[in-house]
Amino acid sequence: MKKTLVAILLALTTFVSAFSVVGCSRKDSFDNPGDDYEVNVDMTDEDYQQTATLTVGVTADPYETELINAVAEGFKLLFPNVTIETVRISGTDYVSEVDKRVNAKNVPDIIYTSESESFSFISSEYFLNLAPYINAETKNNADYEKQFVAEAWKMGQENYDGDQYFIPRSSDRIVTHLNTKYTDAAIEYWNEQHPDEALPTDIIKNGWTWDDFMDVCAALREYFDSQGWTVSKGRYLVDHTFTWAPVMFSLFKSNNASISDGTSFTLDNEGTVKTAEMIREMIEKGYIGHTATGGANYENGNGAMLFHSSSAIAKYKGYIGDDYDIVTFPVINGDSGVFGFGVPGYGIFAGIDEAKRDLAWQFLNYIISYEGQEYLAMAGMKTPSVREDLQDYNTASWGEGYRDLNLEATVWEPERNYGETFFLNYPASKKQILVSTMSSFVNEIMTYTGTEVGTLKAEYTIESCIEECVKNLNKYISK
Amino acid sequence: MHKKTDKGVSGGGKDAVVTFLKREWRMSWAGWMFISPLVIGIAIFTAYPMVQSLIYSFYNYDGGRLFEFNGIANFRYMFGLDFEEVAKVFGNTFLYGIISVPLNLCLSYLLAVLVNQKIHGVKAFRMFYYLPVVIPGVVSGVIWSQIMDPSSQGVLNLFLGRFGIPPSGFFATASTALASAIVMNLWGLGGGMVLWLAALKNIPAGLYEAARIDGAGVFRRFFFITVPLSTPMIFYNLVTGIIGAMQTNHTMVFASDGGRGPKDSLYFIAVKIYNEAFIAKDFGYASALAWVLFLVIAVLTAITFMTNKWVYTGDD
Repeated sequence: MKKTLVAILLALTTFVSAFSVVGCSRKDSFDNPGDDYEVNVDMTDEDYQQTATLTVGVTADPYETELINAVAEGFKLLFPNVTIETVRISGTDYVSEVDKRVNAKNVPDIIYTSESESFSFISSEYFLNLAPYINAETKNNADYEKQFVAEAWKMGQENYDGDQYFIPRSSDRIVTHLNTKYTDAAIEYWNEQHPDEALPTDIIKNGWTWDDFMDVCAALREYFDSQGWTVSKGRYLVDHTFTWAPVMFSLFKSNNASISDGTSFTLDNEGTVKTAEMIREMIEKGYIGHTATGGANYENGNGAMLFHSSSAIAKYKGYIGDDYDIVTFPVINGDSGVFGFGVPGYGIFAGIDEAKRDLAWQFLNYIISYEGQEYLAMAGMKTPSVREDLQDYNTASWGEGYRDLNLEATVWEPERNYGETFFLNYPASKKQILVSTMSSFVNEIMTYTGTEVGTLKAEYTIESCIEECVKNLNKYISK
Repeated sequence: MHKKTDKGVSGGGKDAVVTFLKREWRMSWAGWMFISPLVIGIAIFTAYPMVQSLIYSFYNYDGGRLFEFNGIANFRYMFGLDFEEVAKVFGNTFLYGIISVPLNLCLSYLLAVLVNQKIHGVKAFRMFYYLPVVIPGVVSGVIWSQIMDPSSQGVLNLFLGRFGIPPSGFFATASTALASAIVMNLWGLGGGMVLWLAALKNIPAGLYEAARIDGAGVFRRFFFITVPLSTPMIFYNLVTGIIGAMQTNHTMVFASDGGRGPKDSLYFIAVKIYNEAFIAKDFGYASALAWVLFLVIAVLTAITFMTNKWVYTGDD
């Protein structure tokens, strides 16, 4: 009996101690000064000679490390005694890994982010409000912010329209990656078979419409079938990436589909239905696979087209070779048509040692300087610069090595660049689950049975998919 | 006054407990030292996270700076607004466990009996059957998603096609996803087989010889000697099988929609816990779910232990 009592007491003591330890360990590990802090953007000779080490947290992708190392070389010419160290933040989820580092009080001075991840970092107050620095730079140079592409610059702001929290280093949009071996042959074949309905040979050009795209798909399907590359053999035309947020939301937006009006979810509208029907038409015509079949396998040279970001140009050029090219994402619905858009960039950790804060800003400012952008481009950044004076791919280094491609697709009509905002109506912590729920919705739209054109049957009605999605969205925000 | 007995200390008070602890320590400190690595390991890597997750379950915690006490709100949500989904994931998990645990037990047992025969090259068979167990779960997930590729070009569909069987959706259609996951799970039969083999090897050969002399055939020897004497291992495999089935999460590797599968057909409770923590950024709710899962497993394990009269313990 006594032993049992002692065992219970010991267990209770352990439990209570652990409770206390866990409770105490939840104290904030840093203070965020907001916009109330002193800045110095005018460096003296003494400042340039300072000795310090700045740590920059980057994703596990070696590409990002290479970029930072390259720009650090240029920075060293200004600050010879400053060392830039990259810290790879690897894991299945970048935001969670940064969270862990904050909890462990082991955060780099500067943190990489995309516009998508920045919502979480800004709402968690990890990023320093850069407004005091921007204001100070603007005092020195009234056109400071005008140096940067407005569409990209504002993505670094709170809710795309507030104080600046991170500095975009480049811009990236969804484009159509082509395998011209197939598209050229398909158009030629179609025009031979259907002289009365011949397609213009230049139909695939920047600004081509969704109808143009569907016409090309029809030609491709006929050409593929004529070669024995049928749907039953798993040969599809396009790797669509429709469940990926930048592509998915550009489809919805182009069709004027409303997701939320700020107070409730308004998914049940004509635009949503039209988007769903567009996707289903592609499945039923055998242009894209459904959830129960494979994709077109563009990477391996089997597919004719892929919707993906322009930052993947180098990668796909490597895969496809001489037959590779790009063109804009098809314009849907005339002027309403938008292209998914995003910006990678860097923010300063709010808990950075005050002595290093100005230096960290100097580094960010260098990244977006003319020289810094050229260093990034020479290290492999082949997406449009964030600077207005480096938009011309014919002269700017980011176009080098790829000028035989249709690089105009990456900068054509920048006003069509679009970053989704419906989740701004809700707490930032809900963003990921809301986007994920929308992806699930598209996934359900694409759920079919059957593997042959003509036998395909949608598993759920569009209405039931919308109903299920709205129910889940409401559930997630209600908590 | 404390009265010492051979069972400890009688007589109340804090002093009595302290005296008792001191005496226990003097008598068994060496033992404690030997087990200290294990005790410390369990305290840090099991007890502490358990307590931590219990605390989190009463908080609104996003894994970052948001850490607000919200009482039993997580549990109210679980049995309120989210109940439909919680019921679905527990339903899927139970169904998976009810089918896959007995199936795995029976098939791995039969496999062990087969490779326990004294035949030429049996060691090679044992090695081949065990080989899949050493392949990491993620890798086998990828392999099986290729084998069960739902297109008509998938390995298994190509094979079925040769017999005129139409291609199956496998993991990609709601009606076949769970069955496919259960079949895929058979890939690890070798793990259970090895445990069975150990049990079978421990059965005294004399019993079989005596039975043979008494005229018992293969089946009688199997059902009256092999099965009863391996019940301790059956029991062990049953308990660990139930716990393993309740914690199944390998669908995250290959199932569509973040491991949920079509129409949530592969959405298990462990996958939901992961999704709530790392997709929904709701560590508090994920912790609450984890504790409910823990209680369910505890109850199932307790029931298994309470009904273990069929297990041969050697005392009979």
